[in-house]
Amino acid sequence: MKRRAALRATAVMVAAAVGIGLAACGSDTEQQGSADQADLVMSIWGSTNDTKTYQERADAYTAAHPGVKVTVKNIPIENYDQQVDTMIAGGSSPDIILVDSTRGPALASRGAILDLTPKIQSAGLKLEDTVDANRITGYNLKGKQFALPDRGGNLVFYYNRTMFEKANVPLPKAGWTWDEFTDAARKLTIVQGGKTTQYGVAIDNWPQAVESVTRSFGGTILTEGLDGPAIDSPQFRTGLQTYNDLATKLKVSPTLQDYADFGQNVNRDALFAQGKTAMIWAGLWDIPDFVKQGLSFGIAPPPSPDPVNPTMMAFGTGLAVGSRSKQQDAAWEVVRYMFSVDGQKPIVANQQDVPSAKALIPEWEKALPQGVSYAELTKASNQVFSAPRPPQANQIAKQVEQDLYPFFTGGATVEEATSTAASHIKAVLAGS
Amino acid sequence: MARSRRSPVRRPWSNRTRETVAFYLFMLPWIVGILALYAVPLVASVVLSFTNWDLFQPPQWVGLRNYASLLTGEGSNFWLALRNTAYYAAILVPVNLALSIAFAMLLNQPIVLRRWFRTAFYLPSTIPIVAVVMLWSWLLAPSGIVNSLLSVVGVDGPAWLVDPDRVKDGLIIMGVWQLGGGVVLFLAALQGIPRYLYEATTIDGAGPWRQFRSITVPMLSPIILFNLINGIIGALQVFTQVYVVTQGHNAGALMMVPFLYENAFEFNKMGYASAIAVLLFVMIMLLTLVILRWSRRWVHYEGEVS
Repeated sequence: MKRRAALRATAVMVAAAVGIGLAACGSDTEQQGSADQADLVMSIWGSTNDTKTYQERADAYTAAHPGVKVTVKNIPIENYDQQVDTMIAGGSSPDIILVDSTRGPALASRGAILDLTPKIQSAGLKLEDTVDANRITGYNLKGKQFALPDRGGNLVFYYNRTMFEKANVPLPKAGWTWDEFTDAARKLTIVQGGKTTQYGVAIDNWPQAVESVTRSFGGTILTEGLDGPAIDSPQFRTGLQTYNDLATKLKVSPTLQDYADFGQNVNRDALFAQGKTAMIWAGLWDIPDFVKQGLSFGIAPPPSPDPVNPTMMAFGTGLAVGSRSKQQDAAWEVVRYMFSVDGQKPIVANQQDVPSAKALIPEWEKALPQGVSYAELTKASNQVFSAPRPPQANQIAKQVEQDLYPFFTGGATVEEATSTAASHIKAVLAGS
Repeated sequence: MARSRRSPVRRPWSNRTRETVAFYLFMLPWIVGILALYAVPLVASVVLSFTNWDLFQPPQWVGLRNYASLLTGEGSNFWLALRNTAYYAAILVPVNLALSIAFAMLLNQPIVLRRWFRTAFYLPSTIPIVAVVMLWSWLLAPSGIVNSLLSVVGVDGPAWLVDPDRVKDGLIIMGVWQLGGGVVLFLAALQGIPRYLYEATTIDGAGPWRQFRSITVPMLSPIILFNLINGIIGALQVFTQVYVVTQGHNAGALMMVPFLYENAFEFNKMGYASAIAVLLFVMIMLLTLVILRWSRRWVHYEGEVS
């Protein structure tokens, strides 16, 4: 009796479990879309203005191709990678995927986004006609173009105009040297009663700035073929040491220990916004915030220790087509449209970001707040670089940050930190 | 009873069967839950630990390679994470236990403002961990309150949460501050110790220290065991505070679970991360078994005949 009851109970359970399982499998209907009849999903991260702008660009495409509709799905940046991964693994890949130059390689190497090279070729598209050539390489993995550049922008250098004028120091401009820069930083640092009340510059271990500054000294993290570390090269070490000397030796910048005293989440941007530092390396996205603070500031290229080297890492985003999308042709057409000058216009109109299209830069400049000029940066547009990344970009970036950290806190020499990083990079690239 | 004898309706199931079926029906959501949400992923992660899986492409069987590269691979961060975690647990757990007992005994005394103190000691353990980190990153700042106090006694305090050599100590201080949960358990257990035991030993001439050793500690031993095992498991699985303090960028605080997390969800190395999970599981199991075996020597259960 007991056994029979147990058997019956098991049968009920199995039936229920099978029912649940079947229900989960049932909804997988195949959709064979064509290029002019499709319902597409586009995954992005960012603000409501970002959602609005992408939707406007998509709707502009729909207006010309009424059969194709795009739903923009905004995923919080903290969960973006995981959610997109889950969507792809779960069989409902977004058709169009917003990527940047570290996310892209990770998706491309796992076959989650399409190699667009054949489509670019058959469409006869010349990417460099629309955007700067050095923006394209950031979305290229081993010769495969996995995304089209979308938004542009790059690392720039901010200065507080009020402080410069008060100290009677000439303003930063294109082509200014490292010596001119340190000289200005010294003059702009104010120490009162043994306490620094105003820093000439605010540096820290922000990877984008570290990579840009070391690059301006001729150093790179990886070799050109992306197959080994170059972080232990003399150029990289000199760059890193000179950069950190600003804080530890010249004392014109706070150290990481000083930042910890300023409070949780007070970084270089916050110091600039509070008027406590005269200069920072930062992204163009800070402009609205600094305007809101009522600062009088300007932007310029960063100081250049050697004019042959680039100084500004390209930022921005790219648009990729999901390789598990069932409507790849339609998705590609939308991406292609969004890449075009017309397709990028809402980026400028909504003041969302810098467009990657060269033709739109003058219009974007006009929308800059009063007093902020892009002129010096235009002169230095050849100083923008976008570093191609291997599939293990995420892991390498994190490992490098961990390994350089003791150098920034004073616990390791530049040789020690970069040698550790180099041996870790070797191991990561070897696949462990 | 009488009615059923008059008209013999055939009952399909006996009461016992009906009860069994009802039991399983009521349990069903839970059983399905534990199978789908625990058992399957548990077994799956053991299997996955022998594969390379990037979430998209089919897993590739690699045998023991993940374990080999974790344990002996060049540049593997496994031993660093293990060392850091062991250091954290080896200091935090005993300190927490000793202080919890000490505070529980103090709070069990008829002192002024006793209720207020009891609340004050419990309160920190109810604060969300992110808020705790915000508070302590201010207290433990290089020129923060803690270091100012230390400088009064002539100690040059370190940059607690910044310096890779000191960040674990900072995290331990935060953990100790949150010992309230243990204090409450010990307090309840202390109140359950019969007064006559103390009275009898007083008559026999035992002093306070002897009473503590021969009565208080044996009577608290089941709670000590519980707190010890839970404390070890909790410390080995520490995650949130580490992540909020370092964002994973300070190798001085690279612990096992953050190490697992970054491999799984940042580097998409699911097989490798599963191997870390399996190793952590085995370590926790072994430690728990050893402690349970050892506890036979010192844990005293009331009503137990020995």
